[in-house]
Amino acid sequence: MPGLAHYLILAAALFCVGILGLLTRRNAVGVLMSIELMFNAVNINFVAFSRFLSPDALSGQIFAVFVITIAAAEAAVGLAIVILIYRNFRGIEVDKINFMKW
Amino acid sequence: MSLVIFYILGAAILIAALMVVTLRNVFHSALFLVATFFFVAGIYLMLNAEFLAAVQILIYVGAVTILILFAIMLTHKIQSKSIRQVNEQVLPAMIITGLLLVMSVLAIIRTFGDSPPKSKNRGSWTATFDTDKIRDNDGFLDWAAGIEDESGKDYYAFGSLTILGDNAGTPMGKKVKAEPGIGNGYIVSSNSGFTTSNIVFSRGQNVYFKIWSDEVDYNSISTAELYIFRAVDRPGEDPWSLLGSIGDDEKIVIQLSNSNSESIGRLLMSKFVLPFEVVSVLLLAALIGAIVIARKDG
Repeated sequence: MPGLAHYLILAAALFCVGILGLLTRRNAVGVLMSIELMFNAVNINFVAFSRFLSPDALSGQIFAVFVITIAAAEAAVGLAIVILIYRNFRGIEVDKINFMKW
Repeated sequence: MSLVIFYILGAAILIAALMVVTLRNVFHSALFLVATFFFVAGIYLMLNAEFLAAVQILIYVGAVTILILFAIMLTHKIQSKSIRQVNEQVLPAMIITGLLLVMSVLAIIRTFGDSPPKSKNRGSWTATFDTDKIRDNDGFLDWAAGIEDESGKDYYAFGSLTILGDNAGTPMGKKVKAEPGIGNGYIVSSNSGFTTSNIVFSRGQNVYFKIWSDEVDYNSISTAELYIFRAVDRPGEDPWSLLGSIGDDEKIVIQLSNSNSESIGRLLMSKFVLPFEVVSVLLLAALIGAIVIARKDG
């Protein structure tokens, strides 16, 4: 039976993959997808801690539900912004959209 | 067995996630993102979080990836192969992520390397006892619970109850039905000694006995008993006089624990109702904001 450390290491690896995508992707949609991966890693942590440290309380699972909700809201707003940027710049490469760079 | 499933799921998650961040075609990345979410739902199932697994598939696989696919299709041209998909900082990013991974794995192994899983609450007792019989009691009761599985192996648990609060809570003589509410208990193997647990409840309050053990297969329980003892030393009285017992299949109900969804639903509507409402309003605001942002004549 996998222990707590198994799940935490899996989540850490998934989080690192998400960070890798976040740092390297030029495509804004790809960046958003990487962020979703990181949200999932955090959720695995929440559920694993909930299961292994206080199996009765379920607080971790409730928080995971909230995180999923926030992730959905973030995806909706982020993709709306992506579409707006595409409309104005004809491209969504994040390293090209630097008009707010000082 | 479950370790094998875990490794398969974990490998699938990591491979699919690596595909998401490395593939040139963003559309294919989104498809692998669907796979990642699906396997993560499998991990939730392994962690006894059935509701979350369903939510994961409904919201992530069903809604978020559809949003992402729509965004990709609405911003066409970006998936052509000629466009470079990664920026110049691939090497430093890989070094930094690798370092982060090594550090966090080391920290995890040092902190949680050998933490056994706590057993999950699996069943509950529904007990009825006569408050009239505990009227003169100073408020300390002991309980013992025992179950026997099909193979004839006995499991016992002992604990104590403390009755607080005013006596006016319940009319004397009225039967108090013990219902899901408060308290906990342990079932331990009779071979491995006793685990006691203290339960505090007010008079007239519902009592809830939860029993759990990794050793018991709750489908194989054949008989069950619950005894409540008076454990207060009073002159001329048997300190262990029996206050009530519930035996076998007549009054005692062993049910597999509340389903995961039921528990989460109860929590969302009781303890977490304020955060739940705040998050709901936030989601509504975000969706309206998304529509306003993406409107063409905005």
